[in-house]
Amino acid sequence: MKKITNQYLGNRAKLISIKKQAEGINLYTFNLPGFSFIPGQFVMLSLPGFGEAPFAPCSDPAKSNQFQLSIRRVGIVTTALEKLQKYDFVDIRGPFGNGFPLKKLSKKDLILVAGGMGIAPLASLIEFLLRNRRSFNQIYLLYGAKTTSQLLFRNHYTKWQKKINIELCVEEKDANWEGKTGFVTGLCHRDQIKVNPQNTAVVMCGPVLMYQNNAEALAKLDIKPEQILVSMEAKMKCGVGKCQHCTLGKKYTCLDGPVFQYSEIANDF
Amino acid sequence: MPKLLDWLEKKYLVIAPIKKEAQFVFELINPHYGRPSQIPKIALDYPTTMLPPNKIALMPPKELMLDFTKPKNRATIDQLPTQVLFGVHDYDIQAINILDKVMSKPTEDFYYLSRRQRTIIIGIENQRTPLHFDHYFPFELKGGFDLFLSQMKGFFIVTVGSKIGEKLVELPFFEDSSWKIKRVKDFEPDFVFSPKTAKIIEENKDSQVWDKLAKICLGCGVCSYVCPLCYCFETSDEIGLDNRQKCRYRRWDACFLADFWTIANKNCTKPKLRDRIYNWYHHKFVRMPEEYDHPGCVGCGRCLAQCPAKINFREVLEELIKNSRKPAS
Repeated sequence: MKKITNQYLGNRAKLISIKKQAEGINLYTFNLPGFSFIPGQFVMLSLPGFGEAPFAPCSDPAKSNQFQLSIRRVGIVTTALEKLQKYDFVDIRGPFGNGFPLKKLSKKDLILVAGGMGIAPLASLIEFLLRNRRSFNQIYLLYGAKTTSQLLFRNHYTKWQKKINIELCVEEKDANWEGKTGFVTGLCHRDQIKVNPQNTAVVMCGPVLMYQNNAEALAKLDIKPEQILVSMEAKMKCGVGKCQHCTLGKKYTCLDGPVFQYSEIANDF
Repeated sequence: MPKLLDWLEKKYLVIAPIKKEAQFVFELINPHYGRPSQIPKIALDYPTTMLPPNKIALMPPKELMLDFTKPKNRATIDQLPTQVLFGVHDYDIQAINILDKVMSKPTEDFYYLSRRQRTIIIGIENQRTPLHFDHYFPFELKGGFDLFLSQMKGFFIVTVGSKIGEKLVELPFFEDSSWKIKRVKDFEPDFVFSPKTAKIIEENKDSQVWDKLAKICLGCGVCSYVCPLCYCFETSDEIGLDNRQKCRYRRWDACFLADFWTIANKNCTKPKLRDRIYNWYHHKFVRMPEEYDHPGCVGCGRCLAQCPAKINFREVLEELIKNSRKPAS
């Protein structure tokens, strides 16, 4: 009888730290020997007895055997995860998916657009870009969150700002906020972004509505839908192209994505 | 035939069609195999069954995936005994052949394939009923069964489909026959599914047909549950009352349900029923032919028979094709 590998079995990863990033959002660091990933890929994290859910690592991909996930409490798995202690174990499957096409992005001006939790995979991409800074031209990060406290990775900004341009905005400002308010689309403006539109790639990660609005804003900068990459949030369950939950037109988010060219899937939203 | 069945029942788990009230169902008829059992009468001349045989034998409604209390051998399915799926109609065998492809590429599904490796399939010839429309999807069975039975007056003719089948016909329940088998060539159905049909469905994403359907469809998903080629699933964990037993199961799902498309933040990516209905047709008749060279339908007619809103999926296909022939106005 032919031996079949069970792709639904995970590997045990050790939780080595939990840090609060914002209300209801934690940064989890895991240790898993042999694990490596490309920014933009995702893992299936499971807590036996509670379930399994997809997350994209947000850490520096050059750090082997270790990765970080920025996770907001929304469902059963993420609530149970908050109750874990240091040195507890979780199960990890993956990494799955294509990740960002790092080679294709080189020698280009880059605009990274993040909305809310969408900053997570982009944070990992930024770490990669900083390590390989010379392979890229101008780099912009446009990042919007609901409130100032929900702007994540704040302790990284000083380091990031030395090498890339960061533009931030919040929907609801508070007394301490002196920056811009509104949606991230508002940052997508010619006054702020100096790029060569012919040689620019855009990477977006956030809610679908943000993709549509930003694609229109980017068109005003002469950036075409073919130049835009988006990372799709979908109901990944199996991660291996079987369960059908994450289909998008003719594509599987888990196998063909989660990173797609915007023009390929804009009609399948 | 009874002797062959007796022999199989002593040696293997046997899943066969039996009559239950007004319907026919595939059921495990010898849970205590190896010991004589009181078998319900097997219905070899059933018109069709409520659920397809593969959904009993190869992808059960609720299946244990992982048992977290067993650290080294979390998946226990590889200890399953061999099972015989007895009395399967040709369209259901064809469905299994397509599923074998779906479950093998581009990635392997451990649970389906583990069960499939341990399954002997004995097919049986069937009579067409008005619900069947398997002639829409012509195929020639080139395997997928170990034995195939055709009923004649007073005896059965058996076709051998595999090495296991060759071994089985060496049993004393079989004898040589003087029959020489030929096939008749000129069977031409009036309508046949083709790449053109797929194209029509692909081009009709915005058609009124889906809106009209959404008005009568209850969105219950029964058509998916009874379909031999609907294979989507949901996974969920369960914790025992003692807080020790922790297991992951998978269950049939249905893309007609809004929950199917709802992610953790409660955002449903297909909130409109018409879009979910279209997705079902798109998957079966556009994506599956592209991915696996065959539509996700064998015309078994179960979706027609079980739909509580009496939606006739065959007529939906026909209406789309008819509309596409009308000149654009």
